[in-house]
Amino acid sequence: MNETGGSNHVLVIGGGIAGITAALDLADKGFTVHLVEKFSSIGGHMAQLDKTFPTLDCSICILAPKMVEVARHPNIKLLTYSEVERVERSADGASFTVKIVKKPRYVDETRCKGCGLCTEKCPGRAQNEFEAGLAERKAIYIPFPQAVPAIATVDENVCLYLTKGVCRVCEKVCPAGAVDFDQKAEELSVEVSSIIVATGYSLLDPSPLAQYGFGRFPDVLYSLQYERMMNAAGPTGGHIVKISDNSKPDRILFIQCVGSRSEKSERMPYCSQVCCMYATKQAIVTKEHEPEIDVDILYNDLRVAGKGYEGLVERAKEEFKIGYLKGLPGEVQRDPLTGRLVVRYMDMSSGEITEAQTDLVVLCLAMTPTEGFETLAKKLGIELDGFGFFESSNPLFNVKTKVPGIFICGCSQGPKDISHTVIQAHAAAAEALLRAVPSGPSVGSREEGKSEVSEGLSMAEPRIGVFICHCGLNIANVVDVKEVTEYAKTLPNVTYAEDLMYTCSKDGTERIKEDIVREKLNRVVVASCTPTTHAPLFRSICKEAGLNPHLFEMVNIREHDSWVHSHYPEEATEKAKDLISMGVAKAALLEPLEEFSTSVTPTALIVGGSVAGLVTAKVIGDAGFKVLLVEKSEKLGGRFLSEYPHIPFREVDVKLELEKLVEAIEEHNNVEVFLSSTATEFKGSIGNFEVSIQSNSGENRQATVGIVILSPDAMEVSPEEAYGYGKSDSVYSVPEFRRMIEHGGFKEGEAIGYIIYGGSERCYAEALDSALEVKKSNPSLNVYLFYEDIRLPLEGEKFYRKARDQGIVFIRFDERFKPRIYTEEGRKFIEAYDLTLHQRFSFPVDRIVISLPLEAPEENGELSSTFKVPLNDEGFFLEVHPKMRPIDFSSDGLFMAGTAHSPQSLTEAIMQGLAAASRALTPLVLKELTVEPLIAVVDDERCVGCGTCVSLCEYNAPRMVQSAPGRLVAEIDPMLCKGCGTCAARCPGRAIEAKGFTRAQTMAMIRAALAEPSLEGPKAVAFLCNWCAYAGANTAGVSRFRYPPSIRIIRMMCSGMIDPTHVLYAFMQGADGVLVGGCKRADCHYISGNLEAEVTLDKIDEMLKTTVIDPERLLNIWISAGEGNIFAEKVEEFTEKLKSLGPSPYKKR
Amino acid sequence: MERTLNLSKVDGVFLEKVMSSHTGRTVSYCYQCGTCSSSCPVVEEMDIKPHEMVEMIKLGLTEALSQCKAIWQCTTCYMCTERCPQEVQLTTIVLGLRDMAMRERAVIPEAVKESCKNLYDTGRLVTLSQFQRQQREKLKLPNVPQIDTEPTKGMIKNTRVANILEVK
Repeated sequence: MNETGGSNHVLVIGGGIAGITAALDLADKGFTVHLVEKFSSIGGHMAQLDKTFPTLDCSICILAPKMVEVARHPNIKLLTYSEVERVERSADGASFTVKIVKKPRYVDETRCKGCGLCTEKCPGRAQNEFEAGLAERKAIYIPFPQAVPAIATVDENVCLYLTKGVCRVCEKVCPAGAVDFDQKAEELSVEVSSIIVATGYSLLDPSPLAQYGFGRFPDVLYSLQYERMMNAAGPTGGHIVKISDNSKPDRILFIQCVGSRSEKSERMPYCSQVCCMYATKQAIVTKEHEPEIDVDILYNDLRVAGKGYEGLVERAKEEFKIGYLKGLPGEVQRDPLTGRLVVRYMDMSSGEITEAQTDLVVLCLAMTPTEGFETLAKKLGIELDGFGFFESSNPLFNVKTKVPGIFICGCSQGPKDISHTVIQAHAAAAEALLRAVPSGPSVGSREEGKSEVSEGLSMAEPRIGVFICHCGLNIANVVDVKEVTEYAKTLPNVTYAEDLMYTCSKDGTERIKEDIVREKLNRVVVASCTPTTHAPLFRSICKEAGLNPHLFEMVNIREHDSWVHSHYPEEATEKAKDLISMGVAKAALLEPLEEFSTSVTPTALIVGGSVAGLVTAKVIGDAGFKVLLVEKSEKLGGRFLSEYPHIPFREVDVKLELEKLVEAIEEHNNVEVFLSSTATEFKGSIGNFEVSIQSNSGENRQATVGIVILSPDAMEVSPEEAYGYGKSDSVYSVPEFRRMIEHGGFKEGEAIGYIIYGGSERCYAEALDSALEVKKSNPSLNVYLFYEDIRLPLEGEKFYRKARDQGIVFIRFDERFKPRIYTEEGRKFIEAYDLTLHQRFSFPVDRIVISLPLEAPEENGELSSTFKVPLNDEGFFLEVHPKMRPIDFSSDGLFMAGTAHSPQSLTEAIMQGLAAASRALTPLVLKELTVEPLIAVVDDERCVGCGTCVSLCEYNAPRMVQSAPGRLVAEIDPMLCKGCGTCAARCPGRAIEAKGFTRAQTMAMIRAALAEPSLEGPKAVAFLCNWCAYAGANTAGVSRFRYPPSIRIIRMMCSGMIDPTHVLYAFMQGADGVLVGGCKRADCHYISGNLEAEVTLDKIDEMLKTTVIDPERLLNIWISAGEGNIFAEKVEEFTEKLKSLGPSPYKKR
Repeated sequence: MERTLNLSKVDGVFLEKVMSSHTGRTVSYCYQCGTCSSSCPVVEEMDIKPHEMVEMIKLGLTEALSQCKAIWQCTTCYMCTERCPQEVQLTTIVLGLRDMAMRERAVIPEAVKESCKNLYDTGRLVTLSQFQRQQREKLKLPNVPQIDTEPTKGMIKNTRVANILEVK
């Protein structure tokens, strides 16, 4: 048995977004992470999603790069198709010995290249789990195009050989000899200091819920099936259709709470937390695809509790006219005459029973614990909660379990959205890192040492080596590789060209290394598959051979050629020649680039002594780094400590815990506290920020810090804003009323009315918790609670039922008529419109309690301008990405925690505090940071000091500096620049170049692309952004969507990089057309590069109108990485258009 | 929307009464999703829909409840109870409301009175029609056996049904 491990080893169970996040977090810090996934690929449910709310980002586009990072990370040992068998805790509790079983996939992982030939020929069929049963897959399969690892697995339950002893076709066709039917289960053992459980969730089986008609009517789907149907790479190619007859539906009804919030057996008593939001997302995406489909959502309580969620629902209602119908249906039937589905529901807002005819019904299913949680809990020695999810032992720190060293995160702890999952995964990583100090190679020093070959040699006359891959038959079956290799030898500066069966195999890479040395090559071009997955490998091969890794260029002749032009082999060969010629042209102009590095000051600055800030300070301090904690007021602990510290529904002495935390911070050796102080004069970049800490008494302290965390507190809205509260004596806020309850003194039978004023989960939980407490203190009290939609955390549902059991009366009011407080004849009344009875009532009450929302403090505005970080409309800080990087600012080295982010409960704030600490500790632990040299650089001779770049950059990278007296020029901070090149494209003086994508390099590629006319039909140049459009073209390849061989793709980092010169030059060189592809509006990886590209394209369009070039020869497409079919369709249409326009007037003849 | 109804005058302890009765224990669990009403086969005929009955119990609107027709239109098919996600025993609650209406000598539909009278007179809620008797003869089915009504009459005389039938 294979044994490995040590104190800096961590086990992560589950390879969904939670496990991926935790694994990368720890691996980046130098921990060795063993990531165990029971399925054949990592990715989890998130890989199946089409979009994510509230930004409607393409899910796989943001997840796939993380998956690839996991696979390539030197500190992550990825164990897919594996399960934890046994866990033993050491006597001192400091470590665990874990036995893992790797199930046989009957494919040699080191040999399989993921070409898919076996799948093509395999006769065995099974239901496709990835497509939620809407399609079939083969017995030997790769679960989805972006799977990691991208290798085949044999399903032993359906494989003909393994079930019946005949077939073995896969073995015969595999060009790599990877199929191995003798493979046995393997056992391995690892020793780790911590275990993070991130095993995700399942969905309830809808079949037994007979009234919804699932299984009986084909057009009743469940939500994950619908998600797949929306996906361009899904079973219907992204077309919304009725399963029964493939026709387009006129109407779709979503049904909420299917199997959730139900006391019936085999159903789930809790709210699944995310269904209202994903239904909103699915409804909007449907309307974006097919505006004429009517979409309605049947719900009971609309659970819209998260940052930016209200805004999305508003848009759904106003912009997309999506119907939100309050009232759940009794049943789904089929109209025997029309054949349509009939949903009978109680329309609460009209008070009428309604029978809706619809074509599709989407059931929003309960999220449930996964089968196997119980066994795993037993192996680990941890508990499950009443619902069957893993139980946290500490309500304040909800990633902890009763076993020290075992932590839980994501949906395995309870249903939650991706943002909360990612935050909790970082929080779990924070707990794990406190148990052991990392000592492995950190990510910053992943590749040791600089390249050996001197700069002089690299810059000498280019000696280019071209390596052309057969990829088994994947390329060679379509493209004449031998002919292309001969052609490559004739290209300028090429001194060596060779074709290899698999360039990426061990043999292939060794060969390339030898050739570089023997032939004294100083530039390398590999023509094979996509750089997205393989460029890092070849770059490190170059480095190992002593060549600067940036003297490498990759040409994609598989996804962009052989896989999509198998119907035009001659043209495909011609295209491969062009693409290689373009790669060689660029390679000749490549320069050696060195990574930038900076040391990191081992100190953190935390601004805001809220609970989140204190938690962050404690973790960073405990990890051995210095913390400067700046608090505006004269004490620590913020609102939670000053109000009435408690957690709704939990019996914990929170006050004591928080006081202990404050004490720990005050006495911490590594934490220096600055009370009544503010941080000012902030400048610098990650690793070395300069800041001035100013106290109210006039003292001033200058400091250098490596990272910054903003954690100011938020306050409840001013009482005057709500129902005239504050003007009358029997009206209380929830914290005030808690003190009342402590003192008691209520009269028998007094009536108490709670009004929930804010829409956040916190407001509901606080009000409900207080109502239960007052009722408990005196059961004779009549307690009313006025609400609009119940929004509670997972465990809250239990207490909602308990409250009803105790006779607390819940009145649902109508949003159009908010409750009003008035006094008549000395008696107080709450007047409310009862939505159930459609009648206005006046409730006589003795006391009124209002649950008030939190609002951002004014302080946020000051912090925003000091630290140059953005705020959202509500005055809370804006994160760089709501799902993947929910607490990071767009500027590196700055993070947020707690109510800086949004209104939060205490548990959420603590979780964010832990997560922020973990994020911040990565650079601190690394001590030295390196950044990719692919950044923009200013030529100060050409810079006119106009400041265009300063105003364009989303990352504050350029700033104006004085180069000589009276001469201001731009300078770009390499630590801040992300390399999108938008500034380079828009620089009026052409003074900025984006390294790795210079004007000269792009021009050379354009020239090479158009040097020869095409064999047949038009020829166009396509500039595609790396993240979406180029990746979309990859998806077209992986999915084998054919399109005409008319385009020559030039990869850019961002569509914002496209300069009018590029486009005009292509036309001048005789291109029949130019295609520019970028990300969809909200998807830009550089925040707004695509919006800048739109501006540029409009300009080009204007210019073309003054020339003989028909503006129709220029096409822009905005697609996501998943939309391979749309990419193929667009190219097809564009080619037809170019044919009809005839050859370009500049075309070479 | 009509005028505002002041709840100072209504029965403040009615909910508690219903909750402590053997039929109404589950009433407070209702969270107003409307599943009961959308599952009810006769809801279109009702002047107060099933989910509204629950809300009226919560607010103590006893008069409207005992005067309504809906509690008598319930066919006791139990579909609402079957589908209620919160396990509210709504059919049983409706039976409790009928009891309340009886106690308060509310207006009871003629059809209900008729059934009660049948029960008292014949021991059956439903009697055979002329047509049904002919059919039975045609199909050579035996006559429906007579029931000794004395014991049932005795029982009914001891309930409030006797007040309606005026047989005391």
